Amino acid sequence: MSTTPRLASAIEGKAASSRSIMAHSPQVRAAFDQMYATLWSRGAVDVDVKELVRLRNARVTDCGL
Amino acid sequence: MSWLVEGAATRDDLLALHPALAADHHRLMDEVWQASVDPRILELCRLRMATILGNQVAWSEPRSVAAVAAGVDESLVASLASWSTDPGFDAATRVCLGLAEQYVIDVHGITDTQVAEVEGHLGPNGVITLTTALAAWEITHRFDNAFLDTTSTGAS
Repeated sequence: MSTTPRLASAIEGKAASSRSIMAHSPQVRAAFDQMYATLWSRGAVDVDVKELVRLRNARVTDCGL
Repeated sequence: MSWLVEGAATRDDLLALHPALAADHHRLMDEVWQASVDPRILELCRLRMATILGNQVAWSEPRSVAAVAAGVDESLVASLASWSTDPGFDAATRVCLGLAEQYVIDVHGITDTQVAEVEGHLGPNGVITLTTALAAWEITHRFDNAFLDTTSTGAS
């Protein structure tokens, strides 16, 4: 597991973060963001249930973020 | 055939239950295949992940269009299980397959060196494209396993 970013920021003046690193591939990033937004904003599952699932998934996969 | 909805037989049949999400999923995959990473490498990674996750659907469906257009080598596909020792796999493909395997087996085991090697071959743009693709395929493979009956496919 890395404790420091493994790629440099793609945005000048911005520290490396998941957002600034993914900016290396802006079209892929935009498509990912669109799908992620749809997951949260559309569909039959309540947002609070989605959040519980997200947190449970983060726990299972040991996601520190 | 899927247990979820009567008459649904494919991934697209199921995704059609949520058209907006289906459209976004297709757009994301289109962007991945059109990005800078060699589609032949992407296809080998996709299929290797499918094997590890036991997704027979991915093996039985047609190869990705972009990979076919790029001339994906079916002899390499057939040798995928032995990529780490088979001399037919070049250095770039090896580091990507190594990352793909580690991603799906234990993502926390990915090392700084692995990422640096992938970056050395693909550049930072390629690292982002590849890791986003790995994430999308892990979702797809698990989705197939969860909802589709794969017992009748003849995948290897």
